[in-house]
Amino acid sequence: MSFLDLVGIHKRFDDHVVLAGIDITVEEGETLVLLGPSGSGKTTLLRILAGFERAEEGQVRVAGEDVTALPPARRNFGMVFQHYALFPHLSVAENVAFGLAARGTGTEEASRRVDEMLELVELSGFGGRAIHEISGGQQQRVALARALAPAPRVMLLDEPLSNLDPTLRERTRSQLRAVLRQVGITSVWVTHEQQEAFDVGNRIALLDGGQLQQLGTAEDLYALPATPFVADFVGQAGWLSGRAVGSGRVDLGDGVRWSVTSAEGLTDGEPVRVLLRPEDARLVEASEHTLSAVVRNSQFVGHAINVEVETADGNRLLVSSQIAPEAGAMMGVEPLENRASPRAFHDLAFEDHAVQDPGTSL
Amino acid sequence: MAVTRGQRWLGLGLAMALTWLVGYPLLITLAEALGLPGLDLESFRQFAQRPDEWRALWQSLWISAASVALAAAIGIPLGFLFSRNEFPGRRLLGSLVILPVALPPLVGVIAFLFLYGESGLLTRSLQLALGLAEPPWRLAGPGAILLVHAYSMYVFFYLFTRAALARFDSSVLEAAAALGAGRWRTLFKVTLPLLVPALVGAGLLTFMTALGSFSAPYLFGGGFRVLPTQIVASKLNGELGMARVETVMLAAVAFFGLWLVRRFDAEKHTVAGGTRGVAPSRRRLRGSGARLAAGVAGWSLALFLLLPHLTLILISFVPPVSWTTELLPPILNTVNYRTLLAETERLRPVLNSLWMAVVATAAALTIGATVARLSLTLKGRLGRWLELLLVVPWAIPGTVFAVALALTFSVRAAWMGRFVLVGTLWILPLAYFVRSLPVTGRSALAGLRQFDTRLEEAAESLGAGKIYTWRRITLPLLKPALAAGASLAFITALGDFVTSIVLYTYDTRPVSVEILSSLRLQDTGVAAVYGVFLMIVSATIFLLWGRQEGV
Repeated sequence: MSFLDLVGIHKRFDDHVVLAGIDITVEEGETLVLLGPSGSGKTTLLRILAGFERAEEGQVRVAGEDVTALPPARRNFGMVFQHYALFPHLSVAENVAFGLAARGTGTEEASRRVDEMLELVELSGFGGRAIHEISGGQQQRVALARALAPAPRVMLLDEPLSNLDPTLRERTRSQLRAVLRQVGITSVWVTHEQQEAFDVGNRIALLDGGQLQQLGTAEDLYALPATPFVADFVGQAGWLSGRAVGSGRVDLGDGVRWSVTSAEGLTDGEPVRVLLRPEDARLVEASEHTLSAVVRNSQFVGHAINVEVETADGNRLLVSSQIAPEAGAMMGVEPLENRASPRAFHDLAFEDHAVQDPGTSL
Repeated sequence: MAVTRGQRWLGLGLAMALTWLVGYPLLITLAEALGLPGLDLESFRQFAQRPDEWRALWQSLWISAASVALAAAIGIPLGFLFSRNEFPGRRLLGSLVILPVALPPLVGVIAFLFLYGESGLLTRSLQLALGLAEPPWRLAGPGAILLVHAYSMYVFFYLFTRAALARFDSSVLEAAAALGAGRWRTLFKVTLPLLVPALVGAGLLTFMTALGSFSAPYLFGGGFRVLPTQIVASKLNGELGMARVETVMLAAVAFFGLWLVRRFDAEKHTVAGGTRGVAPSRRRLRGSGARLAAGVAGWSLALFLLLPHLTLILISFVPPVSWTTELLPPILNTVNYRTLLAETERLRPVLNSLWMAVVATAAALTIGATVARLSLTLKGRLGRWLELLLVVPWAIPGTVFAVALALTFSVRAAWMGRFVLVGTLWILPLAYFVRSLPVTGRSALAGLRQFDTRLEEAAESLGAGKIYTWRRITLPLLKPALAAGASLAFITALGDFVTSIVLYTYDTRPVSVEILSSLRLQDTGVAAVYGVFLMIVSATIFLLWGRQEGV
C-alpha cells in the first residue's frame, strides 16, 4: 500500500501554470526522486509537500491521512534545504536538538537523541562546534541529522548536494543514501542531475513543464522512455526520421528497414522519429543494407569512443565505437540485437519538443 | 511564503497611519504656505523680495558644501590611516574616532563653547600666555559652525572609507604594481576611483546632515542665518507665513538631496558591485621613528577629539561664580551635581528626556521592524510605499518636521485628521518617534535583507510554531541590527534639540532645552552637568550596541 500520495496537484503563480495535475504515490521506506530541468516544477511540488506552498487543487495524504491543510509545523515531515538553512547562532548539537525542543522533548531524552543522530551521520564529538567551524559536507550531514532527530514520517530533500563541490558530492551522496536506507524513512529527493537520481532513487518521477513525464525505475526511464523528452533528458539520445512499416518496423529510406520497439501503437505509414542510444548501435562498412552516415567528429570518453555521424537527411547521431574513424569517412550504422533502442515515437510528439543537438549534449 | 490577508490589512493600516504622521504634516505645511484653499502667494512673494531670505538659503547651501569638503579632508585620510596601518593603540583610537557622531549636537556645541569660546579654557590660556587684552578669536559666525560640523561629520567619511577599503580586493593593487605603477599612481589611478561610490555616499550623507544642522548655527551663528535658524527666528517674530515658506524651501532642498541619494543608491549596486576579494593586510609600521610619529599623531588626535568633552566634565565640577580670571578654575567640587539632584525642577528635564526617549524608541523599534518586514513581504505598490515611508523622513531636517507637526497638530479638525497635540504631553514623544522611525526602520530593513527566511521555514519544518520560531530564530539573528537601530534612535531622542526647541512645553522640557536656559542664566556648571549626563549615556549606549551595523 502506498504511504505518501500526491493526488491531482495543480499550482499556478499568477497566470503561469507551474504544476498541471500531478499524481504520484510513494511506497513506505522508498526514496522517490523528483527529477527535471529548472522550471519543471519539482521544487514547487516539494514545497507543497512540505506545506510551504498551497496547491489550488489536489491533496497530499500520508498513510491515508489528508494533510493538505496542515501547516508545515504540524505535518511531522523532515526537510533538508538546498543551502542547509542551519541556524548560524546555534551550535551543531543545538541545531540537531531544535526540532526536539520545539516539540517539548525532555532535555535528557533530547540529548540522547542528539548523540544518536550525530553518530548516525558520523559526526560524534562535533556537537559543540559552531556551524561556521565545520565543512560544507559536514554541514550537509548536520542538516540531515537535524531533520531526522524528531523522527519525521517523511523526509524531503531539496537539491541536497548542489552546494558541494564535485569531489565531495559523490561521497556525501552515498552517505546520505546509506543513512536514509538505514533509517528506512520514506523520502522525496529533488535534483536536476540524472546521475544523482539514478544513484539514490528507488523510483524516479521525471517532470517537465509542470507535467509528470514518466514515473518509474532508472532502468525504465532509460530503456523505455515514455516520451522523447524523457529519452533526451535521461542518457544520450540520437534521433532519426522514418516511416512506420506495420507496427514493429521503420523504413529509414533507401530501403533501410529496422525493427523497433515502441509503446505507442504505430500505424502503418505514419511518420516517426526513432531514438538510438550510442551503445545500442555500431559502425560498420557502408553497404546498401545499412544506414549510411558521414563521420563528423570523434570523442574519447574512456571506455569507448563516441563517434558523431550525420545521415543523408541531416540527422546527427552518436555511436559508441572501439575505433575512431577519420572525419569525413562514409560509414554504415547498424542497430545491435535485443536492445532497448531503436525505439519509435509518433512524429507528432516532436511538435513541441526541440530535439537536442548531440554535439551539445555531450 | 504566501502573503496572508491579515498581513495585507496590517500593511495597509500602518501605511495609512504613517502617511498621516509623516507625509500629511508636510502637505499641510505646503498647503498653508500656498494659502490654500484659495491661492495666496504673498508669503512667497515676500520671500523672493527679501535679500535676507536669499542669503539664508545661499548660506545653508554653501555651509553644507563646505562641511562636506572639510569632513572629507579629515575623514578620508583618517580612514586610510586606520585601515592600512598598524600602530600602538589603533583599536582603542578606532573606537574614539567614531564617537563624535553619537554625541548629541548640542552637547558638542556647548563643549566647544567651554573650550574655544570667548571665555573658554583654551582661549583664556592663550590670552593669558600671550598677554592679550582681548581674546585671540571669537567663536562665532560661519567659521565656528564649520568647526563644529567638521568635528562631528568627518565620521561619515571615515566610516564609508573604511567600509569601502575593507571590501577592497587587494589583487587589484597587486595587478597595478605588476603593471609597474608606483604607490602614488596606484592611489590616484586605482584606489581613489574605486572609492568614488563610497565617497559620494558619504558626501551626500554629510550634506544632508549639515543642511539640517541646527544647534551650531543657533548658538554660534549670531547674525549669520541658515534656513533652519531663519525658520525658528521667523516663528519667534510671529511671521508665521514666512516661517512656512522657509520650511517649504528647506524641505524642497532636502527632497532634492534625497532624490540624488536614491538615484545614486540605485546605480551604486551595478557600478561598485563585483569586487570581492581579500582586503590588503595592515602594514605594521617599521622603524621606531615611524611608530613614534604614528603614536604621537594618533594620541594628539585623540586628545583633540576628547578635549571638548574633558572640558565639559571639568566645567561640571566648577561651582557657580567661583571662576573669574584665573587660568584654571580655583575650586572644584560636586555642588552642581548636588544642586541638580536636590531640586526637583532641575531633575525633571532629565526624567522627561528619559521617558520620552524610551517611549519614542520602543514605538519606533516595534513599528519600524514591523513596517520593514511588511515592506519586504508585501512587495508591490504597498510594499514600496511602506519602504518609502521608512526611508524618507530621514532626509527631512528636524526643523521642517517640528514646524510641520506644530502646524498640523495645533488645530482641532477631527474630520481632517487634525487634533490639538501641541502643548500636550504627547507632542514631543510623537516628534521623537517620527524622527527615530527611519533610524530603526533602516537598520531593521538592512538586518532583514540579510536574514535568510529559509531559516524560518527550516524551523517550521522541524515542528516549531510561529512564536517559537520568532523567539528562537528570527529575533536572535536580527538582534544586532535592531539593537543598533534602537540605540541610535534612543541617543537621537534623548539629546534632541532641534525639534524640542519648537515643540516643548514647560512641563515636558527636555534636557537640551534646559541646557540652553541654564546657559542663559549663566548657570554654566549645571548646563555642563546636563551635558555630561547626555554625553555619558549616549557614548555608553553607542559603544555597547550602536556599532553593529558598521555604517
